[in-house]
Amino acid sequence: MDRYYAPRCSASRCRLSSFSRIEVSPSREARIFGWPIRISCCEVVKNIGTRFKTIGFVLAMVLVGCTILATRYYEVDLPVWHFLGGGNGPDPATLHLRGEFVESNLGTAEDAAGSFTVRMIAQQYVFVPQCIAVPAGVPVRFRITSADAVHLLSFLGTNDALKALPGTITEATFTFAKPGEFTIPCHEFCGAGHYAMRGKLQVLPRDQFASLRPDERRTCEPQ
Amino acid sequence: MNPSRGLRRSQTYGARAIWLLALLIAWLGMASAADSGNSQPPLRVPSNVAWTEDTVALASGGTAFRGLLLARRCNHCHGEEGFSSAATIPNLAGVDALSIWKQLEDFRDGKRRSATMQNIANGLSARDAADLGAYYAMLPTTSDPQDNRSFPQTMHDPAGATIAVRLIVFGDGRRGIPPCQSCHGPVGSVRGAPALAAQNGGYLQNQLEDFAGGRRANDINERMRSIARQLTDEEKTAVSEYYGAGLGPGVTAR
Repeated sequence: MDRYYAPRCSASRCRLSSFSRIEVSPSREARIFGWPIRISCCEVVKNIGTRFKTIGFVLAMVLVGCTILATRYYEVDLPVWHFLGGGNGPDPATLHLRGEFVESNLGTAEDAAGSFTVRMIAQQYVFVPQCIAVPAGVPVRFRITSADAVHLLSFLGTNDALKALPGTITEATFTFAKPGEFTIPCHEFCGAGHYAMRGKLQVLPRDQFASLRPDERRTCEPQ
Repeated sequence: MNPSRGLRRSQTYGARAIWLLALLIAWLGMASAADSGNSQPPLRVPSNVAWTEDTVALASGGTAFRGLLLARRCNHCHGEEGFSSAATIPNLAGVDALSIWKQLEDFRDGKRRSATMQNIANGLSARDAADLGAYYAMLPTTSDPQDNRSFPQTMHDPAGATIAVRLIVFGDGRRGIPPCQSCHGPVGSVRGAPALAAQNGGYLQNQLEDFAGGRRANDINERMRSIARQLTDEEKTAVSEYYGAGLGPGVTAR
């Protein structure tokens, strides 16, 4: 049977990370950041590395901030905003009654400054409008929301995609270099009709895309 | 110790806090102004019905027995068993309560046009519509017919069955047409989308043509209009006749 002998105390045995903050209370209870630990021999080790603590805290905050910003940028499913007071978007049940996703406001819009915005709804199992027309070579802002399930509007042949979440507006700006007609399928399983849920994207040369009045919306739906 | 020192420091912190608050408010204001900056086209609302929890509770909470009494004014056209005698008048037997409730609301609001039905719906309350929905949802589609129903009809062009089956079961992904059965049953269901298994062909064809032509526009978020616009005349006829012949998937009254 081995018996445990506390080693003799000497400075060389007392190895501590300079990043740890160890405190020993008068009752000989050692703690690191409030958690009790067992230490070998050091009688009183106090406030070692407190100046590193501040730097560590700042670094940790910067890392957390970067993570949050990165998830927002890449649209990763980390619903941080939902914990901080809910989504930013409209009620999926009342999209057609009020707000920016009423059916008269869907499609491509051009504001007075000449910048383009496309508003779309993804729903089981069609995108509305089903065919959108945008100019080539110009940044186009997309705003999309879902009326029911989670959908993913993917631009085939590129790495771009827009996740449509109910109760949330997803926004991204894309520039389409090449004119042509492209398929924009749903790339997230959304139910029985998912496999046929495909929209159409018409990219027109900039000079063929007639400018729109501020209260005009353009789609390429068959009439 | 200088007593004014602590005071000055707290003032500095207070001022910083106020600056930060002002910045935050300005940022929020700019963000909301950017969203509301565009001028919108005149508002067009397809239907005043929205499937919020309250609406669903109201529309699905009807009493079938009260609906039975109210349905006496519907029997003349829609049949005593919920099957009409003319192919252009819809069968109501087995249609779910939410669909019936929504259409009655839309008739009353003038969002769906029909001289007869708007007139009748004006005399019904939301509660009445829910009761009627509960009653018709309860009616069987598989009973022995005792009335002179027109369902099922014969297909004028049996070759259309191939087209119809393809659209009902698979849809057409190239044009973005989802399969009918993914919303109208039996594979999937969507609020406000009625089961079509026991529906009349003539009625279905009229509705598809009206959706495509924009004469009927009470579907929430343009769902049926987007689909019907893509269909050719041949496909509309084929799908309607196929359902009208009682061949569609789901519970039928063959």
